[in-house]
Amino acid sequence: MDRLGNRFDLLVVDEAHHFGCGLRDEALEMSIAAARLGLTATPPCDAAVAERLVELVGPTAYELTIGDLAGTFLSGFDIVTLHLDLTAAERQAYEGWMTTFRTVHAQFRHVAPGASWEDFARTAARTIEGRRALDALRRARKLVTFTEAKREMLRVLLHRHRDARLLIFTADNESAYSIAREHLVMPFTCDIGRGEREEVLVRFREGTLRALVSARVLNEGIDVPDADVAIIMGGALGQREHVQRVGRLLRPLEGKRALVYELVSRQTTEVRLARRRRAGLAPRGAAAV
Amino acid sequence: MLPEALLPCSIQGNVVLPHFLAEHDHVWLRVLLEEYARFVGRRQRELDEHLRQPLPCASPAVKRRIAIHVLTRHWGSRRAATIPPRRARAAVFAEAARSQEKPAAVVASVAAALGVTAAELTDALFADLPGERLVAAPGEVLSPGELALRTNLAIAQGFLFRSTAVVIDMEGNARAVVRHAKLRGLICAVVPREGERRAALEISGPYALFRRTLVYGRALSEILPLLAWCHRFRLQADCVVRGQQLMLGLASGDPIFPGRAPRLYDSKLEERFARDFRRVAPDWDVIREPEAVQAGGTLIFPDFALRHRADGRRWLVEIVGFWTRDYVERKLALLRVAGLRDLVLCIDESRNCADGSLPSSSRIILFRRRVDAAAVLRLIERESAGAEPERRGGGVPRRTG
Repeated sequence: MDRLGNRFDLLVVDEAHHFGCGLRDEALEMSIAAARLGLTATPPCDAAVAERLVELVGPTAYELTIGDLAGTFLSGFDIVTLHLDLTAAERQAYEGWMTTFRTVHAQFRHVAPGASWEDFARTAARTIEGRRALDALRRARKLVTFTEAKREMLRVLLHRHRDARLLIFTADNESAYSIAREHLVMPFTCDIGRGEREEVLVRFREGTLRALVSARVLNEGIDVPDADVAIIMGGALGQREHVQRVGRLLRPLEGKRALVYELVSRQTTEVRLARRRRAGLAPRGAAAV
Repeated sequence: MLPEALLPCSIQGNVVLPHFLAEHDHVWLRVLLEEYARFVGRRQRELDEHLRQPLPCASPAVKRRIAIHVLTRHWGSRRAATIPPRRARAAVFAEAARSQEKPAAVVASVAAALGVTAAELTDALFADLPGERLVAAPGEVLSPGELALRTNLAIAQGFLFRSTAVVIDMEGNARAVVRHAKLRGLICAVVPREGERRAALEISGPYALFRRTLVYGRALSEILPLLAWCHRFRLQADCVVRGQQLMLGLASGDPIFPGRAPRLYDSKLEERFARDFRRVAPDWDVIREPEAVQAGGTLIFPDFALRHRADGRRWLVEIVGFWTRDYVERKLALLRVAGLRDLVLCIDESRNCADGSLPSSSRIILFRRRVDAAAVLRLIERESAGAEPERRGGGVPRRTG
């Protein structure tokens, strides 16, 4: 941008939610454009980031949610949340890891009640106990995103929707490859080369591929043609990721109604995460400024 | 580039002190290298999983992670597949979408069509993915000492990646540093040093004129391997570490891997002069491409600095290839502006590109095909002693050709 910034009067910032919180901000500061248009399906929730985005791009001029647009400019959709149990062995492992984490986290909260998660992570990384706690939390989260029950439910759903164009979202690439091997679903990940990914999208549009499984790459910025069913096995990035994933399904077609299955492990941290991430899809009415 | 949390350091006042690996780290580095060697031929993900566990000997967690980061980039991997994985994927997933058969039957039918076994097809399916590739020994196997130096380079570059500007005081290889700065769109300014004729280079980017920015960190960190080949350098960087603005200092002698050696000489002519001068003047150091010199709003890059080891006398030498009278006159004017009296211009008398003879100057040595090192030494000695300079072919440069 330091070589282009003085050459344009209008700056269009697509996926504007990527700005306001870090190094990318300077790219916008290097532009002299007085007229700026920011576009995003997931405006930032963090007040400081939102404020910074106002400085970099400008105040919100027009706002609608996916819920407001569904059925008109976007296709209508239904979300089916399926709460699934852990097996006894999974439950035991999960509780063990969470106990390890909670013990250290509670000690930290006692000493620093107002501290943020980032403060905790930074402090924990400096001690063996802290690193063990973070590792335990990582393992617990990983476990709940890809449980036995979820795998079994996936099998059922793939069979039920065998004629649909289907997207499967996982929390990580490892789970995506596991599904790809077990169910012979084409993976769409960062490890697959760009040329092959483009070819895959063409074949998905033609119908010679009927399902794709992805962790992050399909989250945003890629137009997936004609998908109408999504299965969300697990997520790691919260509300923004969820809205963007659902958005992949909502290209409008005559008579189309998309269906999103959200698989949630019962009595785990996933329940709260799932509730929070769904908030981004609720209608809130148009607001023109 | 290493994330900030992985940078081992301590902070004293406003100075950040990197914690480099030293000889006492060689024990666990050797064990780490042996672990890599043990996994040759096995899947990368198996090695990755194994390396998440502590080593069988004591090792500092953060430094171990950095060394693994460095080794993973250095170590090779290869694909083991009977058929190209992309072709295997295209065939298998398309057939799976079309067929109502179970996955095992789909794989078997595709394998038969491709002329491989089902096991070979399954192995080929993802054989090109990073975790599925097979660990392969690198062409150059590192010793623990080399690995320590490479790890230290990664640490030092990690700090420079978080820097806003650097000031470099250096001797030798200056042209390569300035060339890199120019290629990366950085601004390279000469900062005079009080009481010293040698100037330092301040390097940053245009946006740094307006605010402290880390956007040039990557380009600045790439300078470090070039500096390692300088005769001598001292670098000071403004860094942002742990939310604080700190000063980082690096210098010749720090245990940092030097990177690939730059080409030392641009031509045989320069190489021969350096060799000849060392022979005729054993008391003098010959330094290739010393610091840049500011003169009349531009930079001059002398080809050599000649420094007397005992009395510290220092002369610069520039070898001029093609020239015109105007060019040499402008050059001499620049040297006058810069007050640069101790620079010898060696001019190839057969490469005059226009009419006109050389302007008169006491610091010009003419040559044909080979710079006369002895003549350069005599000129320096006489000029140093305040005597009349020696001129080849008389007191005025001889025009030939």
